[in-house]
Amino acid sequence: MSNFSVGFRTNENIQILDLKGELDAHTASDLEAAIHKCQASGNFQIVINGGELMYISSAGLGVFMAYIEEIRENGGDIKITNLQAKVFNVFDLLGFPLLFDILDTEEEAFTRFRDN
Amino acid sequence: MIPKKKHLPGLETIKTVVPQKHLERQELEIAGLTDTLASNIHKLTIPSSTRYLEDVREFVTTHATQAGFPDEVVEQLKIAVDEACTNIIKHAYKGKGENIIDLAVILSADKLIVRLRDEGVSFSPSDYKEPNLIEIAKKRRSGGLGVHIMNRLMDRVEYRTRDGVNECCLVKYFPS
Repeated sequence: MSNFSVGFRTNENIQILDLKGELDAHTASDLEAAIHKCQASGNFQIVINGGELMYISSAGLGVFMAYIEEIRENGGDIKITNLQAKVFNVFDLLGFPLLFDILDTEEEAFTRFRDN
Repeated sequence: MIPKKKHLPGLETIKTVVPQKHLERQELEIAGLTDTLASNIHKLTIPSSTRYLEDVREFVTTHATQAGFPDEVVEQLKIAVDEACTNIIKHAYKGKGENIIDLAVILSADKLIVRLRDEGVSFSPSDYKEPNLIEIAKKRRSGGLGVHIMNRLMDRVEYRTRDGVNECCLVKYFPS
């Protein structure tokens, strides 16, 4: 069994993806499919809730890299929240805080979407 | 529940536990590890498919924890080995799952080495360029970050190819 899953929630016009488990080269395609689904239904304001994300490798990070430009071109963004320290360390190692809004809570992400 | 790994040989059947002490001794001498006992080597062989990455992470976590590394360093070893395996699967073997990757955790007095061997296309570290995150996003590429992670998290990363076998060694010293 794959030990990774994506849950879908919405808050007004914002799509929230709840990531759970371990995101690696095997499970990255599940996240890719989830982001693709958001795009296909016209949702470009995406919050990634990483509260239950236990692990990420570069293959998982690569999914965000592959989609961020297109999402921003459509007036949206991917904002990442609630990361555990060990997972945040991997984002930080590759300089992701320069390119992405990485926030402590979903509420902060909602506020940023509203203010922009 | 349908077992996910039914199309490939079960991991248990290919896990090698036969100690080849004489051979190990030669290997260790070559690697300059004459103080290492064969009992300090733990091996795992996996098919070259990403579905086994979680087994690789568990294998590394178990032995790095037993060796006494703090959790933070165990995490670093876990991700570095995952990245090395992923690169072998995707680049050395071009995503073909019927090949084999041999892993070994080798412990000596001052360090832990994770050695990965494959027989695919060799990696040339001199051709590697540090990734620029903004360029990667602009080009909508999703890769190229794994080697950077390995280099940043390990004390040493070494590559060599001999008789068609590529070897990548990830080295982490015990905290002094």
